Amino acid sequence: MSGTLELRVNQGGLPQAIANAVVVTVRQVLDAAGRYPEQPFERIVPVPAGGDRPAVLDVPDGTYALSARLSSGEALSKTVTVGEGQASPATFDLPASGHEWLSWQTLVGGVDSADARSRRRRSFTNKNLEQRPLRAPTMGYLSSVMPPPALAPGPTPAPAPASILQFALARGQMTFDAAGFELDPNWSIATQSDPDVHQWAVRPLAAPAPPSYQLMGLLETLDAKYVALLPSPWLYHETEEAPAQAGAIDIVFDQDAPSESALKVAVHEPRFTALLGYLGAGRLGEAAHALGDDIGGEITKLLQGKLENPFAAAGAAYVGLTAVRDRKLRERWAPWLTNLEMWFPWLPDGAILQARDRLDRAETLAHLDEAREGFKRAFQRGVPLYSAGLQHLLDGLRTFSEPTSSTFDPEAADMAHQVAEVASRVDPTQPFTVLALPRNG
Amino acid sequence: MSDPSLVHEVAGPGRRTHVLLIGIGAYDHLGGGTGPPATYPLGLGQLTSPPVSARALADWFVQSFECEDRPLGSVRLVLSEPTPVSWQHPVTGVIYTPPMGDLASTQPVIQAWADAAQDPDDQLILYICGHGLAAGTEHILPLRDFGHPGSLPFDRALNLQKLANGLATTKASNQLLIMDACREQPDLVKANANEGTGAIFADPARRLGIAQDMQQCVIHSTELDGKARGKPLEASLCAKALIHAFTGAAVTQGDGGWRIKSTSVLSALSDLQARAFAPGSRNVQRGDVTRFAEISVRRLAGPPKIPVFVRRQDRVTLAGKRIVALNAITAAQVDQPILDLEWEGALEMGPHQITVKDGEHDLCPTAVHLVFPIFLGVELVVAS
Repeated sequence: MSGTLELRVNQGGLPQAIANAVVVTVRQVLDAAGRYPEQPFERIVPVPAGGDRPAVLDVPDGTYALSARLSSGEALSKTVTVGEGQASPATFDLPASGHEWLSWQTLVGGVDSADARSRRRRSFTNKNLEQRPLRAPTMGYLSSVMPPPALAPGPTPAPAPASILQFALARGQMTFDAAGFELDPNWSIATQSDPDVHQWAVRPLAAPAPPSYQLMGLLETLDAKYVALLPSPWLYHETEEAPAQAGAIDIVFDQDAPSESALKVAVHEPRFTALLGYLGAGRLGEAAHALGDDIGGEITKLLQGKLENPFAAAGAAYVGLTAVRDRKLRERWAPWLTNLEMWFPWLPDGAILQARDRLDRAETLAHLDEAREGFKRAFQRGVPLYSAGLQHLLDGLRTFSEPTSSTFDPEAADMAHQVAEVASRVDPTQPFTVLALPRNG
Repeated sequence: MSDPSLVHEVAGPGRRTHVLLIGIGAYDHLGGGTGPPATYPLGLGQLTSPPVSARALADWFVQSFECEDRPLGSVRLVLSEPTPVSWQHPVTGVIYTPPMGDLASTQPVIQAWADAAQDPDDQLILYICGHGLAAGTEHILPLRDFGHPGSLPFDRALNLQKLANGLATTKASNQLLIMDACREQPDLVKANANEGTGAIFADPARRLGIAQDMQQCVIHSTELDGKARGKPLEASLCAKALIHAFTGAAVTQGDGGWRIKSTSVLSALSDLQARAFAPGSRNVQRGDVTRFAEISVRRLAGPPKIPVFVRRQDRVTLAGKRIVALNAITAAQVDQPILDLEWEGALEMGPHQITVKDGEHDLCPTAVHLVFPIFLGVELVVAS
C-alpha cells in the first residue's frame, strides 16, 4: 500500500524554475493504522521551486512530517497524510523577497526576506538610531585575475600567475586603480538597487564558452574594499539537449549587514542552487542530498564535464570530500581531480581538492609528500574560488607546519601564515570567496 | 601522575566515546577578574553560565550516555570558576576538583583526552563554553589566563582551527567538537590571524595505516557574528539543547537503528535554541557548522522519548497545575505536577491526548498532538 508525496517550493519572483531549490526531510510519523511505525520511512530529497513539476516520492500510507531546511538554518515544517493510491501535494511557501530581482538571493540565504528586513528596520527604530552611516558602494571594477592567452585548457600547466594572495595581503594599502586591473570589457553589468541593497548582475557578452581565467569583482565602500571571486561564465543546460547558456552572477551589497558579510555572490543555475546555498552555510549534509540519490555518479558526471564547467565540478567535489563517507564512492570520482588540477591551473581549487584527497587517503609518507606539494602548488595559484577551498588550503598547509613533526616543512608553515591572514578576511558563510579588506590599512 | 580532569572512566575492550567538557567562566585578567587587567580585554568580562553548562553536560554524560556502537569510555572536565569548586559524580558520589582552565592546565588535559582514544573507531566529543572571538574562518577561545601580563594578545587562548586540524591527525576517526561561544569579529583577531594555540600539534604521519576515514564535525552554537546566550548561573541555551538532542530530539531512523547523527544534532540545536526567542525575532540563535562530517554520535537501543514543552500562549505560568498526557495507542499515561512557567518533559513518539488540569478541572479542552522529533511545542489557549 502506497501513495505519493508531491513536493514543491514556492518562492515568488524567481526568474526561472529551479530544479533543486531546497532539500526536504520526509519522516513518517504514523502508519496506516495510526501508530508510530517501528521502521518509519525516512528520506531526504531535493525539491524544486517554480515550474510545473514537483518532486514525486513514493511512500507507504501514513502521516508524514516534512521539514524544509533552508540554507539560513531556518526550518519550515508541514504534516501531510497520504492514503492508498493518493497523490498528496505539499508546497512550502518560502519567505518573500523584497524585490523580484532579489528573489534568487533570498532563496539561497544571501539576502534577508522582506519580512526580516522590515523587522531589522524596526529594530533600528527601536534603538533610536536615527542616522545610519552611508555605505553605498562606489562600483567598482570587474577584472580578470590572469591574462587569458596563457590559459588555454590542456594537460600542461600554465606558468604560475602572480599570487593574488600578495594582492589580498596588501589589504587597505592597495588602490584598485593602481593594482593593474581594469574593467573587463568581456562582461556586461546590469544594476538594480533600493535604499539598502545594491545588485550587479554580471553576464558574459560573448556567446557561451568555457571559462579560461578567473574573474573577480572589486568593490569599494566607505568602510571596506571587497574582493569577490566570480564563477563566470557558469555554463549549464536547461535540458540535456539544450545548448549551453551562461548563468548570471549576482553580486549584492547589503548595507545593513555587518561589513564582513555585506557582499554576496550567487549564481543563477537551476540545478546547483541548493548545493551552493548549503555549501555556503556549511550544511554539507544537505548539500550532498541536493545532488540526489546517486551522489557519487553525479560528482563523477560533473567532473567529467569539467571542461565546460570546472566551477561546478569543483563545488561538487568539495561536497563529496566531506559529506560522502563511503570510500569506494570517492574512489569513483577522485581520480578526475588530477585533471581538474592539471587542466585549470588558473583555478586553485583543483590543486586544493587533489591535495586534500591525497592527504585524506594517504597510506605512505610519499603520499603525504604529494599532498604537501599539492597544497604548496595551490598556494602559488592564488585565492581559491570557493571559501571552503581557503579553509582546506589553510588546514593542509598547517598540517605540515609543526616543527616537531616528522613532516614539517618550513615553506608550508610560512605559506600557512599568509593564508591565515587571508582566511581571517573571508566571509565563510558564502560559497564563493569574498574578502572584506579594511579601507585604510 | 593522576589526571585531575578525569571524572569518569570505564575500562573495557572495543571502541569507546571519550568526552571532554570545558566551561570557562572566570577570566583572571578580564573585566571583574582578580588579576592584573589585560592590555587588550576586548570588552570582555566574567561569565557564570559556562561552568554550569559544562557541569550539566558532565552530569548527563555519566548518567545517560549509552551508545550501542561506542559506549562511554571517559569524561574529562575543566571548570574555570572564581574559586576552585568541586564536582560530585552523580552516580558514585565521588568528589573531584577539576583543573581551573588556564592554558598550563588545559593543554595537557586536551592531549590526555585525545590520547585516551587509541582505537581508530573511537569517538571524541569536545564541548567548550566561554568567550569566543572570530575572524573569517578563524576562531579564538580565550582561556582563564587570557590577557596574562607580558603575553601576546592570544597566547592564552585556543585557536579552534589549529585544534581541529591537530585533532584530525590523531587516532580517533570520529570527532564531534561543539563550540558554545560568541562569534563576533573584532579587528584585533583579524590583525592576529594564526595566533592562539592548537593544543594538539598536527602530524599527519600519525594516521598512516589507519583505514578509517577521518570524520570530524565542528558545530557552533551560534552563527558568525552572533552571540551565544545563557542566563546567569544557568546552563546555556546550547547546553540545554544539546542534552535534549543527545537524549532523543536529534534521533533519526536508518542504517540499522535509531541514531543521533551530527546533521540532526545541528538541526535540533537550531530549533531548540530558537524556542527561547520571540517568534520572528531577528536575534534568534541558530546552530552553525564550520567543518562537516555525518557522524553517528550515538546509537540507541530503541526509539527514544522526544522533548515536549507545554505552555500558555499568554505566558501566564502553569506552576501549580498538572499535566496529563495519554498515549493514544499504548494508553501509557504521564501525570505530573507542573513546577514552572511551562512543562518540560519527554514522551514516546506517536499521538498523545494532552490535558492541563487545574485541580479537577481541565484548563482548556483536551487535544491530540503528534509527538515526533525534534520536539513538540504546545501552546495552550486558555479562555479568560
